[in-house]
Amino acid sequence: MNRVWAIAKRELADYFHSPVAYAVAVVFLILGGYFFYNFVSFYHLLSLQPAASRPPGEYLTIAEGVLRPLFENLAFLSMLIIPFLTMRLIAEEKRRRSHELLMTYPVSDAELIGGKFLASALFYVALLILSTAYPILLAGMTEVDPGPLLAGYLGLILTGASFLAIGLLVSCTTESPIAAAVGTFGALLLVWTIGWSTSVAGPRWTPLFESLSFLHRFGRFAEGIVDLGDVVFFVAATFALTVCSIMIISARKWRG
Amino acid sequence: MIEVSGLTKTFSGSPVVNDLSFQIDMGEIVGFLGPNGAGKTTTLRILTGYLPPTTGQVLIAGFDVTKYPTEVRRRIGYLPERIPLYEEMKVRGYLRFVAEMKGVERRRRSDEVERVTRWSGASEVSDRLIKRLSHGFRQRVGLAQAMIGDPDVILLDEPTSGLDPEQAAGFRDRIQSLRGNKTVLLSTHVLSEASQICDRVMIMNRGKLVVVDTPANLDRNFGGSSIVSITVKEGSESELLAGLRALSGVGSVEEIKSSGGERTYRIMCDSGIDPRSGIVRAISVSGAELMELRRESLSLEEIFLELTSDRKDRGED
Repeated sequence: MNRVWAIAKRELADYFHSPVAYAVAVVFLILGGYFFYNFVSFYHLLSLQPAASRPPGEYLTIAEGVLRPLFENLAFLSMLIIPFLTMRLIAEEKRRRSHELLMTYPVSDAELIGGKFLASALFYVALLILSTAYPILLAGMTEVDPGPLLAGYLGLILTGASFLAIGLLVSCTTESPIAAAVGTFGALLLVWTIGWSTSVAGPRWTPLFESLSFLHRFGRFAEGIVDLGDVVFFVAATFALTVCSIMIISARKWRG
Repeated sequence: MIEVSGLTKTFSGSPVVNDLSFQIDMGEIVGFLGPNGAGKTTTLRILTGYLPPTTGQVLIAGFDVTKYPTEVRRRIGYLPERIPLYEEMKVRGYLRFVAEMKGVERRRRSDEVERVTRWSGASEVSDRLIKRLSHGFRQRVGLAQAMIGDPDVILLDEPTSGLDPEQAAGFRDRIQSLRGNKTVLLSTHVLSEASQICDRVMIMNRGKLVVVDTPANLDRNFGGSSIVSITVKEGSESELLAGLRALSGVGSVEEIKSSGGERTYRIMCDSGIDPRSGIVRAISVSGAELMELRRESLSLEEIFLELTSDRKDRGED
């Protein structure tokens, strides 16, 4: 456990030694703030209209009108920034060959992957904590129900964790951080949008695509619904992907 | 301390290390010599457990590297050839990280970092960023990280390559100070270096061990042989060559230069035999005029070249 923390600490320091971390944080927080501003303004405009002219059942609550689109957009932003958080994790070690020396220390492959994952997860969670400025601002203006808020953040953490696990896995497969970023972005876009296939897949396959769709599952968290099945899905996906990363790192030992 | 038996490593079918067996005792300093591509680095990487052997067994302090990699890694310090360091870290921070990786207890970490920094001569740069270090200091930091945690076995891959003579001498002194306490295996292609600091020398070529011996024995067994080079003018070339080759104690004769009617030959002579008078006679029999005759004893460098050159290989086949 000490070694996991040591690896994570060094990796976090690396984030802040490069401008990437700052760029990622700025993009995430500024765009997030911009979206937040838009949703609040729109909600405000809508709430000024007489009730009769509103579309029935829509945008009646803060949770529906502001929080839900905010969470959906933060999840989308996560998809954009996570490739840049994970691209260097293993690929950079391989590129500068520090991997060879690292693997001669008494550290296991699981500790290495665990430390790398922990570093990226801590950075991502720090971004999410900074983003709570928006709901806190909102709470200063009106009453915010904490339930949907917590559900949304839980959804962001779980979805983000599985995104990070995908990025880490891709980073294990190459020596080029850029290639890792591109590959990760492609993979994230696929798992995010796979639910769209339901429209062409026919009724037989619809449940399969829906159950694989990260968008679909995250959507329920954004609505304020915490479904045990969704929680298990994201935790299991993160775990399975991380185990795959450990296996790829260990492959060196049995490959001739 | 290090036992290697029947070690073979193939990369895509071709053997890079071929049926290697050797043993190194506790406290010995052993030099691993060979031309580039002989398989030295691959062997060291297998010893660290970084690469798996294709066949064969490696025991470090009695632990099989493939079965107990963690036990082995606790006992080795490794300095790779081109030391990969984390450029953005400061030296002290980097060495602390290595100490954490090697499981040095928290309360002993600072002392340990301080100890290896001082020992390796990197104290003056311990607050500098690694990317700003010269090659000499990078190498010292590399040596320092290998020594962290006081491992019993130190593996150094070409530790002095690229260092200026003074730095290299400093490195050799440090390595020699480990004699008796640590088991050191260092690779180099500078034979004089190996003969200077090593208790034994292993010469490797094309994945195979050619010779394992002490520097003194190498010198005795091969050092007695000599090379006579002669320069002659005119006369019958074929008759001269036949006459020289007929002499006892003459190994090979080759023409190395021919210009302006003068021809220079290099004659390899077996140890303990001085065929110079015979050579002079053979020259006069062939009707040639002797312009110059010089005898040199073979240096360790030349023994090394003889043992690892292609010419020698063809001779054996």
